[in-house]
This record gives sequence, structure tokens and C-alpha cells, in this order.
Amino acid sequence: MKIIIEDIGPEEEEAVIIRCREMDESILQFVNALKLKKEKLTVRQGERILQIEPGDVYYFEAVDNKVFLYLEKNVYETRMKLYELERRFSGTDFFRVSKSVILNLAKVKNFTPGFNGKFEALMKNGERVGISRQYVPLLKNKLGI
Amino acid sequence: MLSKIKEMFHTFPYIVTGVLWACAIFISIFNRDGLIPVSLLWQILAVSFLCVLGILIYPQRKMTKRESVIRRLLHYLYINVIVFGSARVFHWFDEESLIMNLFLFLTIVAVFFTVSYTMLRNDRKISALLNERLQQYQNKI
Repeated sequence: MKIIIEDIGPEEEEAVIIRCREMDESILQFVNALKLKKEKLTVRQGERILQIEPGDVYYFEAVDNKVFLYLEKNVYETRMKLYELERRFSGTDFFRVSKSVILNLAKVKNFTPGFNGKFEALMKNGERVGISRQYVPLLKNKLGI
Repeated sequence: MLSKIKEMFHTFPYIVTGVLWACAIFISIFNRDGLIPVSLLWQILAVSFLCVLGILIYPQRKMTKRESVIRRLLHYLYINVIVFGSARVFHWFDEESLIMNLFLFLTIVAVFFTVSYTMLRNDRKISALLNERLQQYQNKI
């Protein structure tokens, strides 16, 4: 595959054009990665409002009608609903693993079986996130099993 | 609740198989020449169903290690109550016989741990496969 990068003038709009015979999985992942880089999430931490790169998020969790973003060390709140986040990041590395959690597959270290038929995702920051059994077939599908 | 029902459906065949094995061994030892009534088959299914309800002891949320050990213990006690209670109601054994009581107790231990181990082993296989594919997935990113 050829990679062509053109220099453009400051007044021109930046664009990525993909020329392919068909959209395969790797191209789709590339498009989604670009989408993730472009978008920012507006979050709150107390009185402060911040912009976060979605790729930095380890997982989203809904707790008592509030949705929180978990980064490597920090936790922020977002006004978006979990289903809105799921829709917004569909086709990216974000994947729903239970009724209340969407996790970033790029930040998962490994999966382990937990007690009572559940699974757990060990995140790269050492946190453990529960995976409902009913989402395991979808996860298998996402990972191409 | 839906996920709990799905979990019950997933676990039910394992429990039925365990109870069936236990019955086969129990009958072979204590009632070798006896006839097995059709009702026993329904009793096996009923006891398995009651045992599978024990899954409800576990909450949907994440548990601490200590909590999961306590709930597992409660689950085990619940199974004992169900099996010994059913044995009494359905007159499976002579309640006065110490050997039969001991056998039933050991059978519960064996079935409980075999079912738990088998399910854990299957889940380990699934985890290994998921981890293998996760590596490939992350290398592609």
C-alpha cells in the first residue's frame, strides 16, 4: 500500500482520502483511530471543565445515573449518557462489557475468569473491571473469534 | 435480571449432570436392586432448578475477595439445605442412617466443587483465547 502525504497551504482544509478496493477491517480500524484522535470529550471535575482525548480513557462507568470516565489515575464526570457514548464510539476500541461499563480494549492488559461465571478485565493501570457473561459472545465477535 | 436468567440457563446443565451422577452412584450403592420411579427424574430436575437459584446470592456489582468468599460459603450452605431438604421431602434415604447422611454430605461437596471447577476451567479456556486475540487486536492498532 502506498502512503502519500501532501504539503498543503495554511488556508486549505486538512483531509485524509483513503483509496481502496474495499473497506477491510484494518482500514476501518485506521478510520476509527483517526476519529478518536479528532474528537474530544468534555468532562467535569468539581467546578472545572476539561477536554479529554478519548484514547486516554480506560473505561466509562455509569453509577447512580451519573457517568464517570476513568483515566490512568484520574476520574472525571461527563454529562453524556452511557448509551450516547456507546453510539458515539461504536466501531472504535470502546466496547460495552456490562450494563454499566464501556471499556477501552486498547487499555486492557488481559482477561481473567472471575467468581460466579463472570469475567474480569485487568486494565493496564492495574484496575479490574467486571465483564457480564452475556457480553462475552459479543466480545469474542469483536476480537474476531 | 436478564443476565442472571441467562447465567442460570448456562449453569443448569452442569448441575443436572452433577446431580444425575450423584443419584446414579447413590442408587448403585444403597439400592442396587431397586426400581427407579419416573418421579425421580422430575425430582432431579426440580432439585437442580432449586440449586441453580443459588446464583442469585451473587450480586451483579463487583465484589471484594472477602465478600465473594462469604457469598460462596452461603451458596454452599444453601445447596446443602436444598439437597438435604429434598432428600427428606422425597424420602430418598433413611434419615437415621449415619452412612447415608455422610454420603449425601460428601456427594454435595463433590458435585459443588466439580461443577465450580468445570465451569472455571471452561472460562479459563475462553480467557486464554480472548487474551490471544486481544494481543493480535492491540498489535494491529
